[in-house]
Amino acid sequence: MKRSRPQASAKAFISAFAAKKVKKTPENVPIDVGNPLATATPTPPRTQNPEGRLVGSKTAIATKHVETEVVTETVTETVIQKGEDEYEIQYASASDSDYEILISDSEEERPPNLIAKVSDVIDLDESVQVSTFAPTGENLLETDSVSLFCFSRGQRLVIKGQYSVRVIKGSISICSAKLTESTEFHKVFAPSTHAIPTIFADGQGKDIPNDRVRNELMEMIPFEFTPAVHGFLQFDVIIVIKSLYTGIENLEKICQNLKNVWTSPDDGQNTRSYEVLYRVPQPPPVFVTPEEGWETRLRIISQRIRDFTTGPDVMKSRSEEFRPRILICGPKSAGKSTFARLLTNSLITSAGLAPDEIPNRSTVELVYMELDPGQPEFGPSGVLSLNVIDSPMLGPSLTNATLSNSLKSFHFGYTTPRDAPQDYIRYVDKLMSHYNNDLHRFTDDNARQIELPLIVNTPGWTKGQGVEVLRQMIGITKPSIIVYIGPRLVQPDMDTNFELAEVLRTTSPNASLSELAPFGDSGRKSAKYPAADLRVAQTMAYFHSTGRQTWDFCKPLTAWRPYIVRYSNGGDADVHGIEILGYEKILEQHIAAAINGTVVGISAVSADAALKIRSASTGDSSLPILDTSTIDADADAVNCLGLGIIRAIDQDTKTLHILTPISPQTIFHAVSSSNKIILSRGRLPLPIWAAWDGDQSGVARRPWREVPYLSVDEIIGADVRAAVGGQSLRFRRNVMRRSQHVRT
Amino acid sequence: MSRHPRSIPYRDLAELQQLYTWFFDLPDDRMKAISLVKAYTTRGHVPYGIECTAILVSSILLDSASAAQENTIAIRLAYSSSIIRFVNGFLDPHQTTQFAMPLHALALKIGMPTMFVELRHACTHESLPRLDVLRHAATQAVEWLRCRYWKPELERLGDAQKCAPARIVECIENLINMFGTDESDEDSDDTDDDPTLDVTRPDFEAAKYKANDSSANGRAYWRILKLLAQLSEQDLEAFSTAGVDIIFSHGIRKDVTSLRSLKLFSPLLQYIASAVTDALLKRCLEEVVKSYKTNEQYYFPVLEPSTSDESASIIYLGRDKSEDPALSHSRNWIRHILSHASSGPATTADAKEKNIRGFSMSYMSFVTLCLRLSPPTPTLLDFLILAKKHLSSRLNDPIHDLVDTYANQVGILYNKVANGNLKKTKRRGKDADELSRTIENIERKAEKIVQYEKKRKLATTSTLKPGDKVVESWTLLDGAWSSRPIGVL
Repeated sequence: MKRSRPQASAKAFISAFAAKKVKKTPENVPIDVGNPLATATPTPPRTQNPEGRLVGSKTAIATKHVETEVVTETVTETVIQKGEDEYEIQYASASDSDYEILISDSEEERPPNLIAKVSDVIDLDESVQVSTFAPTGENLLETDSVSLFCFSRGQRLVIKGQYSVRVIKGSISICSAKLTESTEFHKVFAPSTHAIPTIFADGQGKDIPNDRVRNELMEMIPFEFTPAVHGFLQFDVIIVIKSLYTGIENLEKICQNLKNVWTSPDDGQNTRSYEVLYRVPQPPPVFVTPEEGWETRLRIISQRIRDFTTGPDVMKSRSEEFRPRILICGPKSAGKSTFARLLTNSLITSAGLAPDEIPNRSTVELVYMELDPGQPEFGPSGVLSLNVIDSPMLGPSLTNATLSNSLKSFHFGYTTPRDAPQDYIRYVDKLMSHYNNDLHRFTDDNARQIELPLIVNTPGWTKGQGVEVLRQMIGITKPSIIVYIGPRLVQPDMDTNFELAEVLRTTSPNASLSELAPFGDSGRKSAKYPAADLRVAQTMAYFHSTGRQTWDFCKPLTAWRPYIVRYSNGGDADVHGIEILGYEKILEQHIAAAINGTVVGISAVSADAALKIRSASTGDSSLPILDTSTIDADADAVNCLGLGIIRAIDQDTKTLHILTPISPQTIFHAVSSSNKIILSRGRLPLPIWAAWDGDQSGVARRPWREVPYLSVDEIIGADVRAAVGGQSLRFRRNVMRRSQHVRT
Repeated sequence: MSRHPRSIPYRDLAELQQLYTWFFDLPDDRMKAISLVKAYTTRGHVPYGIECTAILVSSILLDSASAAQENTIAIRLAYSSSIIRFVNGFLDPHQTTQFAMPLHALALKIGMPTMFVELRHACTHESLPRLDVLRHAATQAVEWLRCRYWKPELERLGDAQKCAPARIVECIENLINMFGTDESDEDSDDTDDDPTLDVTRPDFEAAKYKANDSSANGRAYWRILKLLAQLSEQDLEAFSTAGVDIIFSHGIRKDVTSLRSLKLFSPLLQYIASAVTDALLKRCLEEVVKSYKTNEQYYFPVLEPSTSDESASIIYLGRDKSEDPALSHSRNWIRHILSHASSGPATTADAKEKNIRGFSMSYMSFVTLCLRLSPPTPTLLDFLILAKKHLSSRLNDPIHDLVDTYANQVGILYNKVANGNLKKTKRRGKDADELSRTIENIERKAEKIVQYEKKRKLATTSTLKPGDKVVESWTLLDGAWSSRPIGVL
């Protein structure tokens, strides 16, 4: 179809979407017209114009151009559309039914034509189609509580927001996680701050008898739609989507710069927590659809790992010194976390094998070592952790902000390893020794230890000292597979990556090195929110957590009740000591000024180790500052429980007021196993949304002059970097001299 | 107008002033000052002025120790790196273009003597200067910081924190001086005395300066308006008292007619939050009530509840020339506001956009204001009727009925001029009774909940057996708790 006037081609598009080939007689339709409710789909009560709209779909395409001739008495109705092409929709309506039935023709005629027509209008329409799933009367059922989607093989669908998905027939893959039939609902989080996962209908799944599918469907959908079940059974893949309300939908109340991240604003009638995206305006947001090179690499690596852990010649591969350890490195924002997530998911879901079908294993698990303190996939920023994963990761990093998966974590205290490289390496060492000693599984016959696969995510520091740090990390973790994601390692003109290339190739000669192009390399990558905003959102999602993947954003942190923690040097202190990283001698009277209103890490230290960590302060009334730091203690003696905010210091009653999302049970458990609690202050910044609720006249109804540590006045010489995003004056590393410019 | 607050390492201005004293006034306390600045650096970013002062002073202190005689290289290095950090710290933020601007130019821009720039260059690229050169430069630098950073900064922050009402008054005075004495209002003065004319003439509607007025006057006008809006946001209370006082009293001045005052301040009130308009109304109503009390002579209004579409101005039958100017000014204000009020919940932003001239005022709030002033005088009832005409949209609002009944009551009662307040208070009493009864209900419910919680807590703790070791873990704060800023106990 050649390019034509926008309006006409829009109509053509709409017609292609909505209409099918002309059917003269209703007999060809495989549905019993005599029982008109057989393929009924409900008209949602909000549809204004039932005849003109596509029934049951939420698409933004309003078929306004379609004119209908409604003949109520007959069974057959035709829809004639004005435009370049003529299409007809066949209706069959019963006079006593409230529903309208949209009958589509058979499947083989649908997809190719549809896509061919659609792709021709993308440029002119100024919006991009992102889902190849086309809602018709037969493959979609939307009620207030659930949505049922029926796919044929190869279709894809994009849903934004948060939802639970369950596969009833066939299999789908989201973020490379293959989900097959089960009774389990998986939670998926898809905010527009990160790449939105696409649901691919793979179609390969176990053969489930139709009766079972029918029963499942009957249970899921409301009674009045059960006659439609028969029509759904023809499809390869059937999934059910339910709304999910975890509390994170209120994120914009606290982080006021992240508006409409979960749902769009104009759907006043929308009772769902998700939104199906058929078309999006240009420029389109980024979607998680692995590209060519990534797809192959993922497959190869996961095959290799699987062979190692489950294959019959486990002994053989072990003798080759292959260890199931993968290290992912590359400059920042290249897509390392995304790749790690895709790899994790494809390993966890193990090509569709049910857990009982995998030999020698009882569960499918792997270990994820998070070494990026700036934007970690697990946990809040500033904490390095070792996590065990047994379910697919279907949400961005801010939904995994609590340390609930963590086996072992350390409070590093900085958002980048650049600030303390030596301490960083020591923590990497400690985590690795914990993995080596404590994280093995035994085979069923208790004969051998099998290592759990390990995925290591590294920070994006690949220049200067970062290369040296990377070399040390590779030496400590000894991976067998190194994945580098970023610009090509060896380029003719640029020699800045030479060091990196050398380190990656020579440090671990037995390792296989794969180079991948960065995610979204096709130029569509548009980071809507800067990395600093996302870090702030992750920290806020951490502090507002009320459990694993539940949040309470209704009140700002200034309204939360703090914990009362006694600090006196006497016997019954709730906190054994406070350490300040990078501690230089600060007079005692100023310690309170250093830690009041800051983010601290809360760690549990075993009683023996605590004896060795002495307090430097004199006198009973002062804060117990430690002079030996916890990094010197043994690896198994220290474990970080999370972060907290010191809200206030009460010198009279010698208590600290602390806000933390760590559950009281965790603290109780730590304390009752004769551990001591230690607070450590690194350099983690306090996000502005923790201290300010967006009110222009002050905080918590107090005017600005009564609010400490915040100021609305302009301050000369202060870093004019706004607290959240905005115009910032950073220390620039890219200022050129004129002579430099002339050379190129 | 939306600004993000910035986080600062010091708690408040007093701490900063203390720091200044330690650095400059009491030389023996300089170590204390440096320790405090070190504590600040662990919090986050410290303003350059403070950090540079600390660095320079610590090099100076290093110099004066006795070991300085031998380790001169280290001392010189300490001085030179503090000079380098000082110059870079102040000039780097101004390096905003793609290509590096010469530092001398940047130094001229901010007023730093170029001696420092030259010295920095020498320290970085050439041989390390002599100790006395560096010593001298460091002391000069500290002095420069004192004059060009500390003093102005403290003064500015001090001003910002100064008694807010003073600033507001100052600002409004500015407005009056700049725009109050406008000659074009002269011609309308003599018509002000005719009470039967509607004060709210159509040409009043036109704003003197439209929102996007780009003339010099217009810009200045809007700048002042915006500044006043900011001040009102920051300290609404102070604005409502001090600001309203001065706005009101402007109209009573001898040389200013009421009308001109209205013209001057009406756009301002429409631009600012409606709480200020409420405060002004309250003031005017109080004024009216006061005059009623003192003034025996009063023209009784012709009051017929059924004719709700009377024109506003005819209610006042004549006005004594000797009437208190305050009273007439108040009346003018009230009439003006009510007749221009829009009862829709238009935000000031919307009003700005569409250039809607209207005060956002709700019928309920006005009625509440009136009823709060006791006793409700006949005048107030006039105003209520006026408000009803202009503000409310639904005629079967229950408040309407209340107002009507009030009007009836008061009208009848004042005709009798005896026991005026009796029935009123009875009615009020009835409402008050209901109110207190609901309050009691709620209190009882709350009491029940509290007791239930207590019992529940006791139930869980009482499951401890005698041999159990009671482990004390972290507990949440007990007792009364209200939302408060971080850092405040």
